[in-house]
Amino acid sequence: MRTVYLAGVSALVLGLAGNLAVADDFEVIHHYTSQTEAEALKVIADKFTEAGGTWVDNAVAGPPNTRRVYTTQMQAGQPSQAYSTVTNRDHLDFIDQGMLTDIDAAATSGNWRENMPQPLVDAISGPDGKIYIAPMALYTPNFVFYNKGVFDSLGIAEPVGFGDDFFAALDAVKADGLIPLAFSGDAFNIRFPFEAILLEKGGPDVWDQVWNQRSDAAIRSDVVRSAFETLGRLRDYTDEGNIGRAWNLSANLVSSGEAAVQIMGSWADGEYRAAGLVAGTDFGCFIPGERDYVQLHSDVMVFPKQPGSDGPTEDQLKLASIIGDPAVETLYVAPRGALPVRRDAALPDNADACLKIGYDAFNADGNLVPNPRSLITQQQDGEYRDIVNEFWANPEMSVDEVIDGFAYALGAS
Amino acid sequence: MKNLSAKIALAPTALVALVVFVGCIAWTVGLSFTGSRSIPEFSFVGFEQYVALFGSPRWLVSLRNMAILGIGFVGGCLVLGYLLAIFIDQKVRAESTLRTIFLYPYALSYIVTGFAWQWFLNPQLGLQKFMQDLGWTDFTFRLLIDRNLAIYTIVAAAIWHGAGLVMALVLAGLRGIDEDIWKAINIEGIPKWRAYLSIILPMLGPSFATCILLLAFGVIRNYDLVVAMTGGGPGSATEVPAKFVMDYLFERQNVGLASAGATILILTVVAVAAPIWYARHWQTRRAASASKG
Repeated sequence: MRTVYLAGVSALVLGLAGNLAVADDFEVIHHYTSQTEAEALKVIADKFTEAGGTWVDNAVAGPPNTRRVYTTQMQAGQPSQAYSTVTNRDHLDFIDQGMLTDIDAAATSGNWRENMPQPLVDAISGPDGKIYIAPMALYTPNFVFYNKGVFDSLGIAEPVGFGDDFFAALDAVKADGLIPLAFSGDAFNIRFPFEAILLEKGGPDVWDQVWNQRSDAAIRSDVVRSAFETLGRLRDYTDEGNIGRAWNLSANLVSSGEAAVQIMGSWADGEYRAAGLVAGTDFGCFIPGERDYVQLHSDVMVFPKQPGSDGPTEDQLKLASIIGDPAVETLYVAPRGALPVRRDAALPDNADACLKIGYDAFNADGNLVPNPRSLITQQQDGEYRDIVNEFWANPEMSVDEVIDGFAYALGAS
Repeated sequence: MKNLSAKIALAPTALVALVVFVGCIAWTVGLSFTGSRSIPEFSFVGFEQYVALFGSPRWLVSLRNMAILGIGFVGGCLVLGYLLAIFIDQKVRAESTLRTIFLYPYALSYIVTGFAWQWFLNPQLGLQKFMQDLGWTDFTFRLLIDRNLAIYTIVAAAIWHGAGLVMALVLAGLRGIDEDIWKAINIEGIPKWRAYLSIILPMLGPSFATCILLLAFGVIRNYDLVVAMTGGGPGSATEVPAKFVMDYLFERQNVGLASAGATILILTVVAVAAPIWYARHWQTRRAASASKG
């Protein structure tokens, strides 16, 4: 019996001890588990250690799992000092609940507002106008990649957008017996082609009416209708293995020459480079449309309020300043094939032709539009992706039905 | 005070069970009546979340799929598991090797099972490509990407995973059958299939009840297999309730709606477990009174 009591007591003691973290430890929860991601994050971690911080690395694979960990931690009142996520509205909920600390002091002293594009500043600010989030890297979600060898051998020129020239190119590839479009048909990936098509067809005005104002007239407009029609038309150009295929496997189909085109965010660039292909020579890329409108998508770091402190801790401001430093930016984005978030940060030396297209587009005035996930709730986003994915998987669903579902998802009617 | 020390020793466990199980269930049920979004909060909204839940096409598809899984998977496992157990019971050679092989899938996680089956069924990677590469270029096998049939591939993978467990449990039951009964069957000249169906099967009732209970819980909490195999697709054709709850709890930041879904799942568990538990309880009592009389 004594052993039972002892075991119980020691388990209790161990459990308590596990909860007592060392006061100076700075725990960072992040989802950067791939080699290039880890390499990039090490740049920031090293600078932080140099500046006297104690970086405790807590990598959790997959952004949804990371979210599970930090949401649970915050609910339990024992949050880590920083966690990674992507631009969305999560932080607004957490700010409402008083769970996040602003890092406005670091942003102001680092001149973030002057050097970052306005839609990004909007996306990282709270309702009180203070900056709560430190952006680390930018990506272009609306990007099209193609295998240049396949295009050249068939005499196809780079299309402008999703117009007739695009479908003519796909027809030519199809006639040759290859897979024209390497598609990834699931609720996670479906947003990229749909939003790329919508942005090309509608431009920033319709974009704002659909995602920000969520006006019923805009959602039922001819532009949205034609975007869905174009998306539906793409079904005839992909292979039947597209359902549920991960985007990196689709990228492999294109880089191996089995397929010709992929519609995917600029992060896919890393897959093509990893396959030994060179941008501009072996594979090409373009932002669809006459004008290079780009959608904002940023990796960010967020800072939960620590127990017993109302504002940011010294270490939190330290990390935010390091992330926002233009010189660190350039080093950070180099392994990841991403764009620096500041206009005054230089492109890394290893930037390829595709990255430069994105860089020019980002830095031209008036090209950048917000990410829908900064404008609609996670639930609206989930339901919108469900209905579009259902439309993709079910050729019998009419455009009217998917528009009704889209309007329902965005809560417009 | 009989067994005082035993009661004290068990008290922490009982307390933990009470707080963790009952407490968490009460917490979830409570949250389902609130408008909680990403963080639990207590703004009561009555049955609003349940109205939203049963208005959601995805939830209704999930329920339908749970029913298909429940009938197909539980039934399939029981039939296949029983057949495998009978097969092993024929005093076959290398019995332990075969038993290990049949039980082996159960040692794999649902994630591994799901990915293996996904690769096997994927038209570009698996069986279809294999047959086409062998020369049957017209061979098509499109179950996984057919919206109406994809759920049955999940049923098949789940049966593959769970049938071994049923076999092991039923085999143990078969080995417990008295030799005299077999002698009687032989003397009466009853065909073997008939004996297994009409005499042995009813005697294995308790083994089957255990199997049904274990498998039924597998159906209700089925999440990882679907995530690994289809991700709920094509479209939303293979969504299941547990995935709905997980998606809304974390990804879609709607704790209230997710809790309403979880509450319905808890009710389902009770609905499945209660009749089985009651039947067994009743049987034991009847057996007890029979032995007394």
